[in-house]
Amino acid sequence: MQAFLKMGKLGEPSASPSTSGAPKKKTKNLPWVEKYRPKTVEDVVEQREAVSVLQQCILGADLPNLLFYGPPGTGKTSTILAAARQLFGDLYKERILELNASDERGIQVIREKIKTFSQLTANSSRADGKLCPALKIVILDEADAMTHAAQAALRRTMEKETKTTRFCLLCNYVSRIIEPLTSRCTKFRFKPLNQSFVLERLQEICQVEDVLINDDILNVLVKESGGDMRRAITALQSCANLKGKGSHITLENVYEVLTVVPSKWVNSFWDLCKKPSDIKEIIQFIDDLEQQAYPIQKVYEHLNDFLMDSENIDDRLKSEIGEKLAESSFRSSCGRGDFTNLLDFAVHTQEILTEPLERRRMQALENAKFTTILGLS
Amino acid sequence: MKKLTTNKWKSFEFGPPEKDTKENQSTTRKLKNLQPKKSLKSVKGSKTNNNLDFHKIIEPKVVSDLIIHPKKVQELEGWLNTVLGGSKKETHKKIRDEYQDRVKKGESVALKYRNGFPIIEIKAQTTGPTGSGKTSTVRLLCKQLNVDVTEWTNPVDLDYEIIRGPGQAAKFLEFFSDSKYPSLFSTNKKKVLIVKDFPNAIVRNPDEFFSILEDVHFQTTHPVIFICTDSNSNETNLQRNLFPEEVLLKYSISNITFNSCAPTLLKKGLKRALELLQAYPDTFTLPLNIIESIIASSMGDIRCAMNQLYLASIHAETNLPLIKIIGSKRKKNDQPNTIKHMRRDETLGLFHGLGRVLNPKKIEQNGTWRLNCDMQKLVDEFTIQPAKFASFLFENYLKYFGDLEDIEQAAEILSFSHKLLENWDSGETLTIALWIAVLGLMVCNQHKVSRWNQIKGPKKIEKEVCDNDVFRLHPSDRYYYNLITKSDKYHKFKCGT
Amino acid sequence: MSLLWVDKYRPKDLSTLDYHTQQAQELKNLVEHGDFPHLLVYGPSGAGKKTRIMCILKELFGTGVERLKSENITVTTPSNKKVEIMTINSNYHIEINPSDAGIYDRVVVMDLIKKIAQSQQIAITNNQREFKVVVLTEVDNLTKDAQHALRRTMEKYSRNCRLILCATSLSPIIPAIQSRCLPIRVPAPTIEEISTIISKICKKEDTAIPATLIEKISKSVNGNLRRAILICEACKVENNLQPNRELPEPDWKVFIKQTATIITHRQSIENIMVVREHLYELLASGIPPEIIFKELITALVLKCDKQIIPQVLQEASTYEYRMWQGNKHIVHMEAFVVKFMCLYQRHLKDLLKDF
Repeated sequence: MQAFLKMGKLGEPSASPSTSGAPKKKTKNLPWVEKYRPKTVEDVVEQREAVSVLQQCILGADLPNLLFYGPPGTGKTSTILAAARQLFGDLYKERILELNASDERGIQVIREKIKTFSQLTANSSRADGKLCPALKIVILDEADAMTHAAQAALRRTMEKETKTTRFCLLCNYVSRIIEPLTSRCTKFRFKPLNQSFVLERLQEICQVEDVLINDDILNVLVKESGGDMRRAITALQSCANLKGKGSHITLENVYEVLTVVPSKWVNSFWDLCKKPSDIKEIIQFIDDLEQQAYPIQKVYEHLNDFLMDSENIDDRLKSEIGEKLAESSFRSSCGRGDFTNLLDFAVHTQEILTEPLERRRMQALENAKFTTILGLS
Repeated sequence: MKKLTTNKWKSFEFGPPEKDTKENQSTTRKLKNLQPKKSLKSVKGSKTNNNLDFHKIIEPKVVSDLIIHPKKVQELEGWLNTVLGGSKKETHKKIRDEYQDRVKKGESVALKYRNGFPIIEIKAQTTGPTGSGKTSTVRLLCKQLNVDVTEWTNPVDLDYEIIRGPGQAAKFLEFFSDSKYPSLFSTNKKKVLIVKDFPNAIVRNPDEFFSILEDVHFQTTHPVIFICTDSNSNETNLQRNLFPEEVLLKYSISNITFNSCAPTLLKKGLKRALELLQAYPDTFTLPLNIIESIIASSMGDIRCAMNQLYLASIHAETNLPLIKIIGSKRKKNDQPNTIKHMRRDETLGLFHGLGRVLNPKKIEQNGTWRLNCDMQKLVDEFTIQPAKFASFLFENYLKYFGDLEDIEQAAEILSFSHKLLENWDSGETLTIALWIAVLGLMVCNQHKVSRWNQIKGPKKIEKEVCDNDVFRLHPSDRYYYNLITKSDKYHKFKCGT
Repeated sequence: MSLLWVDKYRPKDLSTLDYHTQQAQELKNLVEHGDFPHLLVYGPSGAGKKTRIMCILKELFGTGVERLKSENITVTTPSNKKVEIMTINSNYHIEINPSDAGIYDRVVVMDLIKKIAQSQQIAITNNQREFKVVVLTEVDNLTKDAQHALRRTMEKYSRNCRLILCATSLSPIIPAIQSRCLPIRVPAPTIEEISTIISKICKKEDTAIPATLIEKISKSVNGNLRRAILICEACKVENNLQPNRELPEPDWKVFIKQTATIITHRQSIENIMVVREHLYELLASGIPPEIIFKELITALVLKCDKQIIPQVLQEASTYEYRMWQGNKHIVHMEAFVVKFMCLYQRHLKDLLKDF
């Protein structure tokens, strides 16, 4: 995934050890995210804390259990993989066990698979004669998707196997990892990447892969992928595949691949919500919007931005609209009620912005008389 | 005293009468021992003996004692006669004719040919609910026709391997092949095999059973009777699992279905039992007034009825108040917990439960009211299938409401509880959902309409099947298809004014 | 029976597509590139998603994909229940609608894809790819459970199996799946594009059709090209091509509008029962619940006073949300109808009070 490396070796990819062994055809089909993963810890940029600790470890310090957390595409997996490669050299394949959320990861697997793996003995020297720690690393990707029971099972294993095995937990939300586990690990927060780093990286890839793209469009791509290196690189590759060799990537391509909703649609919708427009007009607009098939979730995201940025709405109203927005957006994601939810949002925003608060309160009280005895919603 | 009787009851339960009767125990056991009071000391020693005799006494002795519908008995008798009477060739012919009739009627019958002659296996399968007298009828009929009966019993070997492994099935097969040889103790040539206990291995794996059937089909020379008990649950329903339609046809198995015993017949049977028991006034004191209530609570299960009679007769002697409760209340279909274990399992039917919820009874008191219903029990009854109960409620609730605003709340409650019911992985949520639906509907129904309504089952929405030629046609476009082809292949909505 | 016009004039190649030609060219590039990703094709109904999918398949595997046969496949659930599901397949691809299996969609997705993915393409000749394609339609109707299963299967068998997912709305699709697929948006064609296509077809059919009628049809269908062609053919069959004729409106739409009238006409228990029957009829004839809901809401909202609209919509979105949580759609639809009746009735009473 996120490879924030400044790769000095980028110019001659064939010389890099990982690609030279594989047959040519395979390299071609390798996703770029894999192909341009950082090869050494030094190549990883920005996450200074983690990098400096790992550098110490490579030089011989003891490796602690690690917990990396942060938004997707910030280099968590890349960092640990690069470190492992440097630590173990060619042995690296045998010394790490990588489990991600797509593998079955119930308690059973934690117990069996990790146990068997950690019981293998590790030698303290590499094939090329260099010394390396007599350790193995278990990488648990997307650890926050593990059940609490499985996490609890891991706790014991972690302690028992501490002589031979180190664990590296990767997750997006550290709050979903149970306390006993976090306390056993050294935590590192991975910050979202600065857009200039992503841009730089993409430019390098474009050069190597002969991708034709304007800097402006590349900028848009970087901006829309929101500091997620993996997403940016995947999008770039998809665009390149769609275009074929020799033609320029257009802005439309980028928008399509990243499923961006053009702002003119959201703008007019927002305008429609703000003024007391006729219900027919709104229905017609939503119909048209649905015909364009833009992802409605993106529309909600945009609306949120508009709401936050609009200065002529006072904060109390903003919070009311925001609440409605959250509700509509959530309900949209649970089913196929895009139409109803958008309409509901539009009408309510209108009401909030046009009717005075007191009157709405009165109405709400009036209705409360008739609402259900259980107060369910 | 009470303790004693419970003991007796239990021991009674564990020793199924059918098996014990096979042992050669005489009916002339000293009867005074049977009196519960006196048997206090001998409880441990002669428990089984005590209980045995009751059943022996009231057991039907001849066919006319049976309280099975005469037509049913005739059907079975007819089958036995067909199978046993006459030569094998004739039998085959007879059954074949019968089958050909069925073929003519359009039913598909697979006939097997061996040596150029169609072989129709001589087998019957009797099915019916528990305690409808299947086994007794078969036995007595055989006795009357002077036919030997060989019954398969599950081996109660302690050897684990034999019970679990393929051994059991193999033994089952052995049972059939051994039956070819006549018994040493009998000169009777006619013999019927009865299979009532199905080996567990087979119940779990119907395919194995089918292969055994295939073998049996060629090996046995005697008619086989399979006795299956109807059951509500899918897993234990032997009839459906082991004898699907195609198997019945393939091996020409006739199916004789028994129904639950009719109340009138049951009454007759109970009366006969009472008469028989009059002979032992020391042992059994018989409260004559309870027959009606026994019939009502046994729901046509003869065995259950007899057991209740037995228990009642013991209780009556000791004058326990319990029996009075049973006698007086059971008629109203309301059972105190104390006798719960006596009744058949289905204590509260679905329809009954629906009636309670949809037609709530209230007790008004000092301006407030509360619901007159044992809610906990009601909910407990349906926790196994809450979704089914909820959909029944939805299907029927409208007719019992008299006010729109009540319905507003009721509809909201139903919708909410259905939403909760979707979390089927958590049992607790389901129970809560059921509580909400049940209690909510009862409380909301403030203007109830009391009238008789037919209970409807939940509608199953079956989408129209798409034909291949228009598979890509979206349901909302089928209207145009009808227009274009000038047909009404698809559903047309009646748009009146 | 001869083919419907919709099928007869369905483009078979990426290069013969009538609109979104730029996208078609790009799809061609994608296929040629060799590294074919999972696709997620989305767009409103009648915009041509399926047509494009078939074109892509043809581009990938050649004319072999046009030899279609339909087959019923049986999948056994863990609880030993047998679920039968209809598939359309060729030697290279299989098309299923997993939501046909209701709550068993997860099992179908896992089982079927596993089966298909594990059987490798036997002879790899020059034109053949080393993967098979599984086309899943209506993925937006898949339960969340099934979607997670799908994501797992996607990764596991990505070597010899590619998925093409087809959906009308992206909202219900979990981000994990969206991020693993290349999204292909198929917006509805514009009115002009529809008009051009219709007149082209009519020319081939030797049917003289007035331009005003074409325009009328194109405008009435809300971007649903398939429906436009169907209407056109229906007009032809009726032998009425007058420019000022009424266009046939689907009976289910009329039916829903009538249901709305019943609701606003009188609010009573009898009417609730009538509405229930109507809803059952609609569901049974296969009209998707979202369409019923949408049409019903539109009809009701246009009938009622502006003051109660926000509340009505609030309730509508609540019940629609609940509806999507499960399979008993009717319960929630009815709850909404009852709620609406009560709101409406109360509002009427309020109005009368003021006089």
